[in-house]
Amino acid sequence: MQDTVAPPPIIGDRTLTIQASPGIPIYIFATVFASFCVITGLIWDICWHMSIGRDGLLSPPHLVIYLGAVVAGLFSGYEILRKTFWGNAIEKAASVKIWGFFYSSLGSLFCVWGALSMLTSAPFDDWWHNTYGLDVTILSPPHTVLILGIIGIQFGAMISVIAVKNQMKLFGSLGEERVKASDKTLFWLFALSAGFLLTIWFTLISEELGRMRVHRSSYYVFAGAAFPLLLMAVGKAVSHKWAVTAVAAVYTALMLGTLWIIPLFPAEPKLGPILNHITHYQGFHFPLLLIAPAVVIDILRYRFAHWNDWKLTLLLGFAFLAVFFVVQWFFGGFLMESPYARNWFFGSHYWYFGNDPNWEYRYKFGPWMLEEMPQLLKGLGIALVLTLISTRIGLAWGNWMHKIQR
Amino acid sequence: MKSCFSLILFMLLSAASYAHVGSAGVQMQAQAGGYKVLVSIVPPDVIPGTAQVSVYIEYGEARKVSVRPIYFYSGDKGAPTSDALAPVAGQKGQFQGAVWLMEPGSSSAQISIEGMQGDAELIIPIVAVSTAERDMPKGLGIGLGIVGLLLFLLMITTIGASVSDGLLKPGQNLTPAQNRKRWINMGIATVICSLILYGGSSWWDSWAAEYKQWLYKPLKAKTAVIDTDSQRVFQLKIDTTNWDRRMKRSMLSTLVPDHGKIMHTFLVRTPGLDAFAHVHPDRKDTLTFEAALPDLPAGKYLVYSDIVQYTGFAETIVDTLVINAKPAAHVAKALSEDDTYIITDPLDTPGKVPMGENVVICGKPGTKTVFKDGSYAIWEGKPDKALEAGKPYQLNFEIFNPDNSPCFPEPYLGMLGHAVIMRSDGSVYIHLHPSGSYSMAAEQSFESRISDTAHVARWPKPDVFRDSIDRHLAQLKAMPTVDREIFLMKEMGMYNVTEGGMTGMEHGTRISFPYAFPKGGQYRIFLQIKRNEKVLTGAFDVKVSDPVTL
Repeated sequence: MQDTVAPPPIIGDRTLTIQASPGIPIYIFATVFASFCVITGLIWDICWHMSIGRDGLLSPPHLVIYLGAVVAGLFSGYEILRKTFWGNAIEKAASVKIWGFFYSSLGSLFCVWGALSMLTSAPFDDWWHNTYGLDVTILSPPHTVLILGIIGIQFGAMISVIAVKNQMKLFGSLGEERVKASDKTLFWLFALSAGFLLTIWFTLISEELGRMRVHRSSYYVFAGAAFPLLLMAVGKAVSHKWAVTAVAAVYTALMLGTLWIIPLFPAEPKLGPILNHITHYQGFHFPLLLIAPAVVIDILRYRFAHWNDWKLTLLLGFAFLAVFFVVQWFFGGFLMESPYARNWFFGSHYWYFGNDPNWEYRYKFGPWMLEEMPQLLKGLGIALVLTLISTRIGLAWGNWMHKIQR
Repeated sequence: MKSCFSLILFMLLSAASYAHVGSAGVQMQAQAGGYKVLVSIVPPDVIPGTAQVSVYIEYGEARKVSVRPIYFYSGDKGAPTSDALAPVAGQKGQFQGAVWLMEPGSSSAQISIEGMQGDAELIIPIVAVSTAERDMPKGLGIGLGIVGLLLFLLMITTIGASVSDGLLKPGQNLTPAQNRKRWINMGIATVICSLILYGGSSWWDSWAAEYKQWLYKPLKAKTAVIDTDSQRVFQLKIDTTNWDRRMKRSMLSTLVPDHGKIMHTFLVRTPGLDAFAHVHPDRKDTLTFEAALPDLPAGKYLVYSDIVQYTGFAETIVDTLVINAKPAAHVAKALSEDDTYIITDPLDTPGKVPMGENVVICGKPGTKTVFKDGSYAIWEGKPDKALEAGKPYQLNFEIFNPDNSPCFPEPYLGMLGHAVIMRSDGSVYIHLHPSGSYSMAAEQSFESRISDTAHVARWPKPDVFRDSIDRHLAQLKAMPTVDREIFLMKEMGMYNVTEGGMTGMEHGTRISFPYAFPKGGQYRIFLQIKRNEKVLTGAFDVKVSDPVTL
């Protein structure tokens, strides 16, 4: 194992092939923008269902999601066709060849796959509604096809960026300054795309990570299984001291931005039964404090950069769970119980229109929301095992991303 | 005791009356404030879904018509704000739109009208249930299959590329070892993606099974003719097998009378629809209902029994019953005065029926159809012109005395008239009332729910409720006919004490039923009115064609 945070220097034998295409291609910006659209649209859509309830195929949040699909699909699709039919030999040499005919970057393939998947979900979902009813749940088979498509686009955006970023290392002849500037831009594009992916990661399991569950071990089982995977991967993928922190910061900023902006707009429930009468959008969630374990992970992986991945897994996995548990346990308690959390900043007062606003346990842990100590410890043990597995897979995934060239 | 009585009153007001088979559309003609309106609603066959609402302003000038759904369960306080219906281009006074029904159960559409004649509201009950099971259309299935396969292959290829040439620097080529790695990874990806697809398909299956479980399942019952004291009695026993899962244990105790009867049963001989009886079985116990059997000729009968929940949820229980020829030793038991039967000509051989007591000849639109006492009805319309399915019609009947003078029918169960519409194969059945009648009762049911500010409807104690209803029915039965009819009309808000007559419907010689035939075919309509304290039944045939689709 020779993988370290600082990659081995590139031997300059093949830099000559790259000179023809300096700078960051426009489709990179487009795919990151598409990734932003789909996640923002999705959060808006969730708020829409919490506040208004019913929607149509062309509701505004859906349009934002579709815009993301169209942008990602068109730019990536065009990129593939352009390289295949009009690309020069150098571009083709820097592409993967698909089905013996098409030339593409890996990221574009994922983006096209995602866009196609999202398109497929539309007629499927329409039929589904006519057959099984207009569901308002997040997860149904056609919605899953849509979400897989969204993940495809977000993953594709991230892979597109990392491939270009990795290629930058080959631009020796461009001049130190330009490479550095491009590299910095690419780092932030990467942080954005990975942060958006982290946000959908969270959104998918957000029903398991509500503030009411924060004092149950299942909360940490889900978080431990889901988040280290991505956080460790981004740490490995790019050589930057604060990579994980940056990605967690993007997630935090996006969550806070939507939490603070969306409820400014008026909305009223259009579906009965209505138990909670509201006049404005209800916000999504206050972000998990992933930023805290992210900072610790960044410090640790910098300090112990020379360790091999198995030792790092133990160190980083344990550190993630310990820091996340301590921080989220107490902060979750604050969100749940404190009157100071019931405001626009923390948003604990946001409440689904179909739920009774005077419910006894709206701001109080009910007995079923708590666990006995032995049960909690057992659950945390399971969480630790899953965190370690997730960490190890994340490190391997990061190593792979670090190597992507095309 | 007083509270008990007010409870009963409240329950009585909840009675909606449009139980049906195969005819889910709801039509209503009513006077709302200064407007005369015809409302036609096509409920969704899948819940959650949207009901299509059409409003025709027949009199008055409306500026804006809007609609909102009100559930009995959550009432007015739990209902969303209303949505405007769109005016139909080029059709003055017509408005169309949709109303979302999210949960199964007793629901309603509240329609608000603003315009020249001021503001007005009316409410139409809708039973929201899932009844449809759909397969995927072939074209869509093939299309999705092709895209699915493409997505599958693209994903496998992309994963293969991810671990092989995606990691190569520009210009490098795959080594044989790297190529092998690519194929191995594509193999693994194929297995994993197949497993994911299999998981997705199982998930889909479980979703479909779950849906099937919530699909509306009609109540089932066993009907029989039993002999008691050498008299024939019609008996209906509700079949409660497999009920636990549906959590319906107490529902039979919370039935409410509709027009003063706990159950309305119609027996129609099949296949000719040439014998018809309308009887009202009494409740013997929670599951058993009995009525004296009229002297119907032997044969196989379709049996439709309507009951109504106190929430306004109306259901029809369907069964078939073979009635044998009456043994000679039997004496006919005196029927209740509200129960009747007729024999008429079979559908396929019109005019061929041996004459006798209780025999009437079936009529057509535009012809004179004679009741057994010599009075007659004329159905407005042209004899040989087929009606169109899906289109709301006013079925207008003009009633005359035998001397050709106009006849003003007496109220029968609080109504000017009743009609039963059946398709020749029995697949469509509906028990209708004249314009405004049933809807006014239902309107009041929902109005009382709306005026109740409780967020969630209170559920009565089943045994207390059932006993109070039984006592009320016994009282009703003991009343003189005139008092009972006045009571029933008052109950439905159609009796004006100061004027001493019917309100809410034009008490004339003409009876109208708003209705839209659900599909094409041969239909028979049994019309029931009351004259000289006798219930009279007439039969009419009509052809209905499917709408022409371009």
